[in-house]
Amino acid sequence: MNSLKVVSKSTEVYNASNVNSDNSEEVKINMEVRPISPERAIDQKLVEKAQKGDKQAFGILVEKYQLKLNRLISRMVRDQSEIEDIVQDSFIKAYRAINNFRGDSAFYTWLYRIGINTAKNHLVSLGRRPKAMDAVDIEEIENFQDAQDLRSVETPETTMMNNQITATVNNAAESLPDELKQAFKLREMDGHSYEEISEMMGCPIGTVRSRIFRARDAIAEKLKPLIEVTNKRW
Amino acid sequence: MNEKTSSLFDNEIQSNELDSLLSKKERGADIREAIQHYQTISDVIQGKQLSRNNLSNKIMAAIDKEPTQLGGFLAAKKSLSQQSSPSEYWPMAASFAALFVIGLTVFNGDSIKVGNSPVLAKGDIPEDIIIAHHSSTSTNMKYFIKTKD
Repeated sequence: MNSLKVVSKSTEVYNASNVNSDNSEEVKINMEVRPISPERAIDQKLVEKAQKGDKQAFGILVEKYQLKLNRLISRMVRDQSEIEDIVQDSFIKAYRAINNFRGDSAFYTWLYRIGINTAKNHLVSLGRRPKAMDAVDIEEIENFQDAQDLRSVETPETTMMNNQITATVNNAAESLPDELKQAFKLREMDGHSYEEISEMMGCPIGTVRSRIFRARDAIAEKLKPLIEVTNKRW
Repeated sequence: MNEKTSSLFDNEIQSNELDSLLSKKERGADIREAIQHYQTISDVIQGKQLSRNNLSNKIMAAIDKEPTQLGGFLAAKKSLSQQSSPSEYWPMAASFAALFVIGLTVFNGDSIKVGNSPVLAKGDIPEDIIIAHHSSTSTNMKYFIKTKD
């Protein structure tokens, strides 16, 4: 008799029981299968849309990963303008090769590999040795999430603007109604899923989703004028 | 739209909602702008270093100049067309069956012995008809009417 059941919803654990009818000896094989993350599933969907000619789907991938790619490349290249060129080239190369992406790895892993190779080629073309290449291996790329070492040239003006943005966001977040603030902070600070937050707050997932959106919207409304000024100055 | 964008930012959007969100091309810039704002808010709340780079607009301007990728679409269409239904094989099967029957008939026809073929008695057919028949039929022996003598 063979049985196959999903024990956990979030982590699929397959329990294959093989019962020998002769001696009733039960052999159990537990095999943990790594589930595809929601992020990877959404990225895959966006990639498929881009493969079908939807440029704005690719635009969302650009928006999601340009900053992370920027941070990754900044570990290899020091000059910010060079980093930006490499990031842009990497996305263009990724777009041109998007039909070659088969989903064997996460999109960002594939993108980061393109980024690293582009950076390496850039450094070689300038006669420089890609010093950080050895340090950034595949496993590190897989685990690379959002390093803090974004290289930027801080000026008194940018520092002041960053401080203003920080103060505006924090003040707006603090002035939110309690139910919005709680849902928003559980998501942003603690990284809980909508399902977990709905269980914690005892409300439907749709309500959680709405509260988080309303919180963001309220903060963004106060942030927009500042960002517009910031973009003009920068 | 923004509620869906917020869910997209959190990787909590449903597949059909994503389709709906991306259904209108003119929304692309608005979606990206909203994500930029959400990213800034998220970075502040999580105490991350703020980025002053608005690189995505520059990248998308370059991507817009690129020819639209249709390889996946064409490949998908091709693979879809390659998935033939069983009913598509019926005409081919019928053709093979017909060829088999014809081949079998021809094979049996070749093996028919003269003695086993139908024989018309000379006496049953008027002489002038027999002569006319022999003069008009081909030289192939099989076309000749066999007589008893």
